[in-house]
Amino acid sequence: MALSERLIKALIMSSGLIFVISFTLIPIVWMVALSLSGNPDLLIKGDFRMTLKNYRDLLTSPELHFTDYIRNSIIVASASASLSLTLCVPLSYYLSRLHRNPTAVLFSVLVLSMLPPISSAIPLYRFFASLGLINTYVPLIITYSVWSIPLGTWLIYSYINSLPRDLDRSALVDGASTIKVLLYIILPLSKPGMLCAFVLMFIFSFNEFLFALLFTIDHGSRTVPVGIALFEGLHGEVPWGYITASSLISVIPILITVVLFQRHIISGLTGGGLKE
Amino acid sequence: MRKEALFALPSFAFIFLLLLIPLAGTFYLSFFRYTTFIGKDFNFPENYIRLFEDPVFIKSLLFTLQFTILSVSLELVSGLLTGLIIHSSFPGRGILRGLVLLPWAIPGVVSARAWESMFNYSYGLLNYLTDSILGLRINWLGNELTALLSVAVADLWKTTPFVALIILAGLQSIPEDLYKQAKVDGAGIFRRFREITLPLIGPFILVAIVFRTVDALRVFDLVFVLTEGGPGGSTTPLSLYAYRIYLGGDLGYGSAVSVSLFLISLTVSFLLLLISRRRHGFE
Amino acid sequence: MSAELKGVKKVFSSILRGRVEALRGIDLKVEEGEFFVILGPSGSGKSTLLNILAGLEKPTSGEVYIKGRMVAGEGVFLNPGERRVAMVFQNYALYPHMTVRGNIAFPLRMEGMNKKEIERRVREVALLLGIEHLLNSKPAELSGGEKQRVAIARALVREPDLLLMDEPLSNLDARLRIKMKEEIRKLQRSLGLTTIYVTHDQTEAMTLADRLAVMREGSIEQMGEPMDIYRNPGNTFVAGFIGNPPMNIVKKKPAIEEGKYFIDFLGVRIEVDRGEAVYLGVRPEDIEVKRGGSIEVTMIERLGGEALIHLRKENDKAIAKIYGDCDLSEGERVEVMFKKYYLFDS
Repeated sequence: MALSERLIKALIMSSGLIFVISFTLIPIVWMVALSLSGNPDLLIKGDFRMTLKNYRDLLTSPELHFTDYIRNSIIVASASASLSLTLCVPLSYYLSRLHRNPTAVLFSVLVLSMLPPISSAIPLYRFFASLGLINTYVPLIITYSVWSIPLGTWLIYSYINSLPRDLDRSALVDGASTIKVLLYIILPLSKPGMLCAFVLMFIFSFNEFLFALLFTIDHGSRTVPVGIALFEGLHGEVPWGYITASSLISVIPILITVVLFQRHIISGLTGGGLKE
Repeated sequence: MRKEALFALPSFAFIFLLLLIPLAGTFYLSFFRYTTFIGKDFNFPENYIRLFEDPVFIKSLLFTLQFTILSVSLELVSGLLTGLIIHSSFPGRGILRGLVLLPWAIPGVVSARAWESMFNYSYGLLNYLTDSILGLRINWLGNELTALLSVAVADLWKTTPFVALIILAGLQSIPEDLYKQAKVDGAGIFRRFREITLPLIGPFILVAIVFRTVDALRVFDLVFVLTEGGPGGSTTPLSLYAYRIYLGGDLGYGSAVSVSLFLISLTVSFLLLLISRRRHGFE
Repeated sequence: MSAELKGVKKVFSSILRGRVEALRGIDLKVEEGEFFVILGPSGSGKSTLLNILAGLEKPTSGEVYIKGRMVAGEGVFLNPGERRVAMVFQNYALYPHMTVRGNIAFPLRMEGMNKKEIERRVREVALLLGIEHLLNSKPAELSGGEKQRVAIARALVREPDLLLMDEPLSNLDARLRIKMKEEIRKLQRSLGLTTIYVTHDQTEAMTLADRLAVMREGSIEQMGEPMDIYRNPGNTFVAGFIGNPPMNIVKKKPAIEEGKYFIDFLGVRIEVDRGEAVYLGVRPEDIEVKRGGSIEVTMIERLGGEALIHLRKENDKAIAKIYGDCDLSEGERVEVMFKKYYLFDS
């Protein structure tokens, strides 16, 4: 009985494991293969000639503008994540410590994050256009920081909310004002939560597509996802080598953060916001 | 207002000015006949009547709903499976968790490109496999049914990790003692899954459904790259349809389409939140 | 007068439980240099009272004075930091990211004191509490007793007008608790610091307090010196709460005999002056037990220097406490006498 049960479990587990791993990896491996191949029909002709040309071109030839996209993306994502963090932390502190009914506010904020971006896009576009800001970083940074508020607030709120209240009560009795409690007690103690929020907000902004498509015109501000989506071949054919190579390069910053912060992200997402 | 509310002011101001006002702006625009070159005049409810007479809108609406139902149900199954796997302990679990997270963390455009290259008619991996095994080539992105399936599979790949993470949170919330007790009581593995695991992660599954549904309703980048809305507009979600109309310069009607998508999302998210709140007191 | 509350009320309104009266009009005076203990079960409002004194909560109505200065009242509310009070929390509430030095210095830094003076004062108070060797450690490296000392040092460093302690000993093990209890008492005496101490532990209250107040459901049931309250409890609640093991309390309906009213408990006849049901209270230490009689010994708990004897006669049950060796055995028959008993209306 016990043996057969263990056997069933092992069978389910290992077949599931194989399925999950291959489903996850095959598209990535396929992209790697395409990006390293001189031609996209490597399987049909069976001639796979390994080359780094695609990567070299992307990183060295200025007319492809890929390095511009990368730079733009990193600037926009870090700026918006930082801005959003400075917005979320005081709000989270306020909700956790000074507000009577934080869940109602959190729920309203949560509902906001579920809205389709397209339904606020055009007035925003007209607003930024009237200020002459289209094709600059500003509209993207500002818009992303707003759309990151719900995610960031949920994460940071649940982190702050898990800190013992007696700490701030003690600080208050010790003569700190509410703002000093935030600066001297809450802020230093919620660094891990803020880090997790920053990483996730960075990823969100790095990946966003619709606003980036609307608010950018060329390599001056265009971000990586738009660049990859709009890659056109010189002679009408799809430049698979460039597309896959640029995709993989753009995944690298994300890959590094996910690997570095895997534990933080998982515990932030599973322990945070979704607490029962 | 108490002065402590100043802590909330910056973020509320940002949300109000850059999210709610633009949203109201879209409502406002939807009341006008407004094209970029001609100018605008009030014509409510013309744009909304036009929605119901517009076969492209109806088609787009149907695709949006089909896609949402199909992808969310697929993702629940695969997310549950993945969640169970990354919850159980085995050597290398940490690496696997990071690996499984990856598709969720990379840009949607990248995953769309990956699957586009997989589905490609002449040199995609899938047709290579079907060709060599069945001697058959399928135009995956070229006919309506397989295009819908292709989009759903690509979305499944990208968002399974998210569902799995929520399921993982649910699984971690179940005390190990419950399983021990059930084992002592003689419940087998399937029975334990049905009687303990499923009911206890129920609230988490609902949360996953809520998030995934509203996210699927507003799908944009995936189809923009993978099918460009085709073939024959059969995979054009409302977001993309509104975008196309805007691009054509018809701001009034485009806004009406956006508003309809907004209202659908809002209704669905409210309904789902209400259900999850009533069923499980989820907070 | 070091601290005074006049008609302090606190009402919470919550969605789940509606209107909850946490404090129902508290009047309280604590004298300069006094060690005042507030004793009550959880939910009695004792912590709310402390929070109101600290300024962590606003009274719904009523006035609060500290050293003659109104800190809360009609149109007046001083923030905690402006009250010159210090507080020691149940879990110590040491700031985990700061060293012991940083923790003790924190209240002084908030006052904007200069660095040299801060260091001098921190050293002084650390010396007083014997923790100067810990100044560079982080709270996580400390034992429970050390954390307790740091928390007290942090409270004392500002030389507060009033020290508030919220169940500060409840997280220590029994032996350490006795030691810290002694130290707190000594320290308080030598500094002459007015202290208000909240606890649910009646032994702590009895041993520490100059005066104590027993609270229940937002009201003070009785206030006075510990032994006075022990000897003359005002009602069954106070009687049952003070003393260990608790007083035996039974409700009895008197019987009439020749125009007089009597109640009977464990075969002891007690005359009362009215015909209504009354509560009879007998402390275990006031029951004398002798062999012979009709009361059954159902159980004996031998505690070393003393023994608790569980008695039963028909529906009457009681616990008696006798000192020294107990030569009775379970199942034996005994009779009792009450050295002292109490009658309560409620």
